[in-house]
Amino acid sequence: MNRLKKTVNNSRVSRFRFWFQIAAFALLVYGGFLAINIGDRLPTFACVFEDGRGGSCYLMGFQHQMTIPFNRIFTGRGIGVLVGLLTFIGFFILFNKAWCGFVCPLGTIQDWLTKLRCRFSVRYSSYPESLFNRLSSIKYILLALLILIPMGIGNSITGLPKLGHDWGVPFCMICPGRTVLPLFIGDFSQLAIDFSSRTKMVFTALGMGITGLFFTGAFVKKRFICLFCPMSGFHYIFSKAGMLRLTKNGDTCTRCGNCYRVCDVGIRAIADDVESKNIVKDDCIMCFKCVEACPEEGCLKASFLGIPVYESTEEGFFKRMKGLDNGK
Amino acid sequence: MALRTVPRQRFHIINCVGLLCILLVWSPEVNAAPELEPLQLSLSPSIPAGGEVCAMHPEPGTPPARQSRPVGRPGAAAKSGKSEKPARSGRPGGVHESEHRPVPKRAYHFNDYRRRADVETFVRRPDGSVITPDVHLGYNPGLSFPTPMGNGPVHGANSVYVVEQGVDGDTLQVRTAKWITMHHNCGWGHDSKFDKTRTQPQPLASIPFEIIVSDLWDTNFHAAVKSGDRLKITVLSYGTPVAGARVTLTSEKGWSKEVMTNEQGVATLQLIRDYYPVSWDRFRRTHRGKFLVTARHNFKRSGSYREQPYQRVSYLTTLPWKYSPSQQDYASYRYGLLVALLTMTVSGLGVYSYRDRRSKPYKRISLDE
Repeated sequence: MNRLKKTVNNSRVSRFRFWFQIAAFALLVYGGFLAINIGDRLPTFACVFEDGRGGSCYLMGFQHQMTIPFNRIFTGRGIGVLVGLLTFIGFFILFNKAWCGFVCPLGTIQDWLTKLRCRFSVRYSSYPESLFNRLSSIKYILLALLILIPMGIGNSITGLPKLGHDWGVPFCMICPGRTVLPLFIGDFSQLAIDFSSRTKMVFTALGMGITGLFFTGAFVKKRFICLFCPMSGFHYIFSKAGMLRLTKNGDTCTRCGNCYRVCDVGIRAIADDVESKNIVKDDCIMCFKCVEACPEEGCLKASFLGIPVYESTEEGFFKRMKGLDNGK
Repeated sequence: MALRTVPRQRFHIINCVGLLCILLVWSPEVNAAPELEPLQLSLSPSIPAGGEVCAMHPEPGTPPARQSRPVGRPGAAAKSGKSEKPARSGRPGGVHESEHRPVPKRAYHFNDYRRRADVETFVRRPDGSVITPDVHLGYNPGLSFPTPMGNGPVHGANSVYVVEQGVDGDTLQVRTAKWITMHHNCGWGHDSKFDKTRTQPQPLASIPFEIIVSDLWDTNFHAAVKSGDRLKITVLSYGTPVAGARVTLTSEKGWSKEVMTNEQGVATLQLIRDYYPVSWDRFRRTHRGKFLVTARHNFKRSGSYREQPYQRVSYLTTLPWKYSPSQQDYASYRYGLLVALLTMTVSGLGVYSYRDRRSKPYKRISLDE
C-alpha cells in the first residue's frame, strides 16, 4: 500500500490529467454518437447546442427552469427545479471543482491553446492581484444575471413588464461553448448573428465577440475564460461539501511561491494563505498542479472522502524536476 | 375528280357510330368516377394546444400564464388567438401541436367521410404496437386515444391513420389521412435521440396507401423542416413502394407543386419560402408554417369489395406538416465571423502593443571606476 502511495505521489498528475481530459472531451463531445448520455444536469460545459454530446450542461436547463412563475414554485414545476438542482449538486460534490480541471471541454480547449502557445515560445500573461480580484467578481454578476433574466420572463419583477422569450437562455447565448464545441462535429451553424430580433442580435453578436476573445485570451493567458465562468461561481457555493478536497498544511509551507507560479488561473492565496486548511478558492480548477510543484512533505494534499490520493513530497518533487530536466 | 356528296343525315349517323366506337375502344387509365376530396386529419378543436409544459422548451412567444393552463379547458385555444377552424380539404389547416408539450390524451378531427364507406382508424406507437383509437362519426367526425405521460412506449413519433374505403360506381375509392404527433418532454430524457424508430415515423404495413416524409425532427425532438429544404417523400401501399404516384405539396399560401414517384416510390420536393411578414418587426423565427403533402394513384384492377364489384382502384392520402423559416432568412455568418475576427484582431493587437510598451530595451551601464 505504501509502495503504491509512493508511486502515485512521485508521479506527474499533469500527464494523467492530459489523457483524462482527452477521454472526457471525447465522451462529452462525441459520446452521443455512441448513445452515451451521462445526464443533463452536469456541472460542466457539455453544450446542448452540440448534437453529439454525451451529456448536457446544467446551466441550460437551470436557466429554462428559472422562468418559473413565482406562484408555481410550490407545484410540480418547483419540484422539478429542486430535483434538477439536487442532481447537479450530486454530480458536483463527487469531484468538486475537478470538473473544471479534468472534465470541462472548454477548459480542455484552453489547455490545448496554452500548449500551442508554448510551442510558439510566446510568454504567458498574468494579472496583477488587484485586477485579478476585480475580474474574479464578474462571474458572480453573470451568475446573478443568468438567474434574474429568466425570472423576468415568467414574472413581472418590481412591476416591470415581462421579458420576451428571446431572453430565454442569456448565458448560453454568450457562452463560447455554444459557438466552439459544435465546431468539433463540423457544425458551424452557431457562428452566425441572428437578426430575427434586437435581443437575439445583441446576444449573438456578443457571443461571437466573446468567442473571438476566447481564442485570443486563452492563447496568451492560461485558462482565460475560467475567471469569468458563472459555473465556477455556482460550484463554489457547494464546494465545501465536495468529496474531493485540496487541503494545505500551513505549518510546513515555506511560501516559496511554486504553487502560485504554476497555477493556471493565477490564485495568489494558494501561496500566501497559511491559515486555511481548505485551500479550494472560487477560481480553483483543482488541476493539482500546485501539489505537483510543492517541494514540502505533506504540505498540499488532495483527498477523497478523507483518504489522501495525491500529496506533495520532497522525493516526488525532485523526481518530477529531474524528469522535466530530462525533457520528460 | 368530282367529290361525291354525302347526305347530311348519313353524315351524322357515321359520326355517331364512330364516336361510339372510340368510346368503346378507349379505356382511360384514370377512373371516370368523380375524384373525391382528400381526407385530412387536423387537431381537434375541442382539445386546445395546452398540456404539460416542457420545462426545457416553453413554446416561444407564449406567455407563461397560458402554458400553465389545465389540460382540456374548452375554448382555451380560441382565447389564445389561434385559429381553431378545422382543415379545409386541399389546403393545410388546423392548429399544429408543439412537440414539447405532451398531453395525456390526443384528439383529432377529420374533414369528411362517405356514409356508405368503411372507416377504420389506427395509431402506430413508436414501439411498433398498433392501437385502435376511439372514433366518433357524425357531423364532426374525430378520434381520440390516450398518450400516457413519461418515457414509455409512447415516447416518440406516433402515427395516426384514418382509412376510408368504399366502391363508387366501378371504382374502389381508398382515402387515407395521416397525422404524426411527437409525444415528448425533455424531462423524460433524450436517451432515444438516436433511435430512428422514435424520431422517424415508421410505416404501417396494414395501411393501403401512406406517405412517409424523412427527417421531420432533429435528434432533440424539434421539428426540423425549414423552408428551402428538399423533402424526401416515399409513397407506400401496404408497406411496398409505389412507383408513378402523383405527389403534391401545397403550401399555406396555396402554392403547389406536383411530381411523380420513381421506381423506389420516392419523390423529392423542395419546400419554397412561404412566409413573408408585412414588416421585419413582425418576423418570427419560431413561426410555424403549414403545408400539406397529398399523394394520388389510380390504376386498373378488378375485384370486389363488400360484395360490390369494381374495375378500378383510386388511392388518395394526405399528410399535413409544418416548417420554420430557414436560418438563412434571419441569420448571417458573414457578420458573425466578422465580429469574431475583429475581436480577435483588436484584442491580439492590444496584447501585443501592451507587451511591447512594457518591454524595456537593453541598456548597457558603464561605470567609471
